[in-house]
Amino acid sequence: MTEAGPILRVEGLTTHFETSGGFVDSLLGRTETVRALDGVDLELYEGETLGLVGESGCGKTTLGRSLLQLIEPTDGSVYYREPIPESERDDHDVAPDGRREVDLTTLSSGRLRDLRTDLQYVFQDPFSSLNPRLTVGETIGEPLDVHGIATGEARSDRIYELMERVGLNPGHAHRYPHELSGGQRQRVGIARSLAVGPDVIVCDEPVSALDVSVQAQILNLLVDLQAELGLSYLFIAHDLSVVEHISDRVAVMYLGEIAEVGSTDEVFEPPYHPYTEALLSAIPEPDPHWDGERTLLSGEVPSPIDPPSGCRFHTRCPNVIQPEGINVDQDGWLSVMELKRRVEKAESIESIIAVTGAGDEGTGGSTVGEVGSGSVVDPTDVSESELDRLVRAAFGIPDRTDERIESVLGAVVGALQEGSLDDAKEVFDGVLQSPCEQVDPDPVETGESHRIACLLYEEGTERPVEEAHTRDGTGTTLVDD
Amino acid sequence: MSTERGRITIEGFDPEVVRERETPTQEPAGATDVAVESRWARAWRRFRRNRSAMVGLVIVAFMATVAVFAMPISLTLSTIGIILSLAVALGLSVLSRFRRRASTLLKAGIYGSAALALLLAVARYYPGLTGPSLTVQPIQLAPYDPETLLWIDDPSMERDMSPREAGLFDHPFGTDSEGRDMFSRVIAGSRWSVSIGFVVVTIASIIGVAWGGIAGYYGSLVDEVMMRIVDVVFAFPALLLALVIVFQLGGGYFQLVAAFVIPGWAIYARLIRGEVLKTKEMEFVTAARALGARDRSVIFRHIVPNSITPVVVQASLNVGTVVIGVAALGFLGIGFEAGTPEWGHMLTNVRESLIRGPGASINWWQTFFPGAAIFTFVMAMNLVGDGINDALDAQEDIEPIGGGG
Amino acid sequence: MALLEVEDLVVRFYTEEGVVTAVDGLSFEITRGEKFGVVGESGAGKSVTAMSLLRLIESPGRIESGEIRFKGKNLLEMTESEIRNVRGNEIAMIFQDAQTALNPVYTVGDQISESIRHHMDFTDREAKNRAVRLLDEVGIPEAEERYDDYPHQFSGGMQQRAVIAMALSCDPDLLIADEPTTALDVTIEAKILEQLEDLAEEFDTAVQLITHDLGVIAEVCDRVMVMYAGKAVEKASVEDLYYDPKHPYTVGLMGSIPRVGGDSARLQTIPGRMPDLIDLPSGCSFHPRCPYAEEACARTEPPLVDPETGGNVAATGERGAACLAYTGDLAGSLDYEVEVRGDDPRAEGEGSGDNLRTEGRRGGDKPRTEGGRGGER
Repeated sequence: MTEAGPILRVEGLTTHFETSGGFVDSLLGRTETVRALDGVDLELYEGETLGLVGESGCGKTTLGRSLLQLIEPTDGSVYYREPIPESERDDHDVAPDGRREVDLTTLSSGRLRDLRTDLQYVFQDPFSSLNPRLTVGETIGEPLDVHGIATGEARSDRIYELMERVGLNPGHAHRYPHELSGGQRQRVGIARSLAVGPDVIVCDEPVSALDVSVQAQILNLLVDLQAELGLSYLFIAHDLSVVEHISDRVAVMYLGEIAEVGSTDEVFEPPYHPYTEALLSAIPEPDPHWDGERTLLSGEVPSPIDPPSGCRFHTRCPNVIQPEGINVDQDGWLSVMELKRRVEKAESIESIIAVTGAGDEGTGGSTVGEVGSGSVVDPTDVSESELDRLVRAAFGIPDRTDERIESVLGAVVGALQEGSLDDAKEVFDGVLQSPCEQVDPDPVETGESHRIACLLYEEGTERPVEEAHTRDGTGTTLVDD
Repeated sequence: MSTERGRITIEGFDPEVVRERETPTQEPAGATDVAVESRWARAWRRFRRNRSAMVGLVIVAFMATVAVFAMPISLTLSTIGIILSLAVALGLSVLSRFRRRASTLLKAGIYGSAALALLLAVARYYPGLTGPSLTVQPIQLAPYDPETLLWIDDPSMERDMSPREAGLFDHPFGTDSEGRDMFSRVIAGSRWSVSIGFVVVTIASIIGVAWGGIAGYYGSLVDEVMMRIVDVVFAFPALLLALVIVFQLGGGYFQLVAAFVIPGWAIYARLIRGEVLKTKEMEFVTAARALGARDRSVIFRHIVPNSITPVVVQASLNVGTVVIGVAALGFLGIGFEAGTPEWGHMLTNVRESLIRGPGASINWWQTFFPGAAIFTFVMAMNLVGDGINDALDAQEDIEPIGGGG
Repeated sequence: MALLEVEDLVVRFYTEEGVVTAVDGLSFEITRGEKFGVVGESGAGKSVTAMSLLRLIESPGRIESGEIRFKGKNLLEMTESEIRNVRGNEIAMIFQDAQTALNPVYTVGDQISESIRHHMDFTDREAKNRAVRLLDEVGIPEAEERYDDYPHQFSGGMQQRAVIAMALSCDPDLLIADEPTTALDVTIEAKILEQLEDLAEEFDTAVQLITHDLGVIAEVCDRVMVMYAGKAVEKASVEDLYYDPKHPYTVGLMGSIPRVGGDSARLQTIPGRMPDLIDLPSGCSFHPRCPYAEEACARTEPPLVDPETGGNVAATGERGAACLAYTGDLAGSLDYEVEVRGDDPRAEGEGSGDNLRTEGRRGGDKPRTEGGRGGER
């Protein structure tokens, strides 16, 4: 890291998309906003590889593209330290690295085009990122033409040189993409981005579509190129093993926000953001005798159109913080939250009380009734205590919990027993609110360069009981302030 | 059992050994250096293998040749000049596509020739300078003049002679009710019908592609407005619209062209717009923009070449449709002057004579030969169109499966 | 007798460019309730093998020869109606892309019920109940409600679960899963795999899991077969495959995967790429990429042999590797090591102390531990 600062710095980057059914809908205001990115802060230092991981829908590709202004961000800034041209170097304010910061989001298209010789992009899909009508040579030559870097003989030489550097046979310059294998195409994509001599390359899942042995070749190539040319990479991927291998620093994204960022060691070891923990535990280990415990997340990734309030991960978080004053077994608490969410989202009583559910096993359906018996349990038919028992069995709520919880449960069961879903929803309104539901956490420093956006690590927050962390079996302890 | 990750490490498998072993000629399997062809050459090869398509192509080529050589062509000098300079301009601009940067000389050439064409066209009408006529094409395949009423010059010539009556060498297709030689008329008529098909399709596709391309690329309001206009055009039954236009403009070659272009361009607009919308989303377009390519470059180098396939197919099939349309109007007597040897018009002349009383003979040769000519040409063009479709279509599907090497 | 016995399967595709030998003399077997993994990269022939089992190969492909004995009966000799009976009923298959496996115009529940009604003699009501129960078992919440949903209303993970439910609806004896989790996120993948394992246990279904992901294989499978260019190059128990790989290709693969917590800064690669199946290399298909290859490798195609004894094990389910090193024809030896950090988990309770090493060795030699390298290259 140079004293001058990161070569690429993102501040509050926000990108929202409008989903529209067409022009008429947008006129009528009947569109929904997809909040793909919301206030992302990141730094990329010169010569390093910053890995960006997350699952589908987390916004990592949007981040990569918004960074390079291929998608126009809605808000925020992207600061790039551009090299100061010789002519302006006599100014004594020049930073030691000979660069000055410029905000990409404010640049004219002409200036931006010039900077594209410094900032490049490698795409994920080797099959669709090359124009099928252009030969390899033409594809690699295009950036040279666009920026007037070389013509004629020099141009051909540069193309051959680039092809060799990425491991392609220069004799293949007249071939078309459909005659190359996936790995070769990806090399063409890399050569194309190198043609302009960039400083920063955003690699968007460059190896995800490739076979294992080819993946290794391309990864090694990227590492070699970085050492040789002093490149800085933003390496976007969903495969954590790959990211851990190639990255110096890692950022974990969830639903448009950065959950955790730090050096690779820091992120891959405790303390964790609960999402990172789940993500890491889910990686299949190529070792049949590995016996690590899996933290399985409940539910599905919410839609970015309507992200959860507060901390976006709270709906699936195994360590969600209990409200002040409540102190029960974490499992029980999670079950109550599940019931609460189900009631709030339900459109009819049937969806909470229906036929199926192996509630006793705790897998899958948390609904009340007997499996496949063909009989629907009508809530108004059974007694309140019987309904209470069924609901608890279905959702896995223990028989005795906290006083407050008990009174809420009682009210809910009562409302359901009367057949009124709205009343039940009202009961839950505003009560038993976890702080995670209310506050979207800011990143907290937990290490040298380590930042975690989770209330668990914020000073002064209620900590759940130690038991919360026994789920992962690693016996980690919480960071204490 | 352990909960530690990454305990297993493999050592000793050294890929360098393989690389050192590999001699320059020994390439990894599957990477043989076969001479690579462009996509058009590939498509042509596929097309050639399609027998029915080749038959169609041969027929079309044959009929086109006949059309050219049926009757002599004389053009005024100014017309020749216009055509030549347009051709030069076109040729040079195609050439410039292959050069990285259009050199100033090339650009001068293109603009210069276009300007010349314009100048000559203007001079033609105002003040009427056309220059002398030159016979550009002297050959005449037709044994008789298609429009001459032969029986005027030669009273012995009879009308309504069937081929057998007239003698197969004199009048292989017989004569029509005005005593004109059917064979000459059919051959000369090909000029009208064949050319009009290609002319209409060329103009309509250029307009349609430009229209739909812009709509597709820019999207939103521009797209909405432009496509609604296309929808309006589609709302009219094409043949009726053509009919109305001819009535308004009067008969004549270019009037007919206009009549078919006006309803005809819409399909191309719609087709290309759909393709552009699809292609726009492809990663290589984003890649081009990530490189810093300008809009113009992105459209012409990346989007258009990848969207043009359905247009080509549609155009080739459309030629037949237009020919039938023109013939239909001709059958109704609309479009050209009576007596013009256009195939559809030739059918008009027989209209009344088709229905006769008992005992009368039917002049089958007067309907059969023009009809057969129409049928043959359209059928052949359809075969060609299908062949092009298959040839280009198959190419899109050649994707190697998997992400190997 | 094993549940499934494949013997000498040969499948060819007659394409414009030439004859592609997708599967070349493949033999393997799967016992009841076993979880059998098939590993290989694209083009190795794994999917073609799976499709052949259900006779789903269509022109220009053809199953040329071989036998596929399922519960003793040869599937390749069955009539159309007989094989249709087997499909879905006794052998079920799930594919990588769940979205294309589900018909978008019918509800998910309908599709499962249809499969049940087709194969079993249930009434409509019974079929629906069973379908709902299955949806619940595969972990779809509110199964009764979701029964009436259309595929597009399900997320990717849910769709795959619905497909699994469909596959298990008729209680098949063998479930073929072709890259079932490749398209899914890792957290969803973990859940699905666990579900799959549980269900296989519960219903006593054998599973043939086809994938290129070595982590998934390690987690789920009991025995594994490694395929390369249409042939089986190694067969082993899952433990043996990871701790004691015998075939150079397997070794190369194991070395080229990035491992979390691993030591290496640089990944080992296998040079080159999988050969074109139209134009296979002579002798051993892997020899152009193998660091240990010799002249003999280009001449002779090695049979699948037992690494200890050198005997041919192609038709059995025993440990085997297709390399001349084990038939005694290789002059040099396979020079690689598998290092295990910490205690060797295989030697439970015996505590072998420091890093245990297993080295490749010539056929016939006794294994060494902690020693120099065997033989010269």
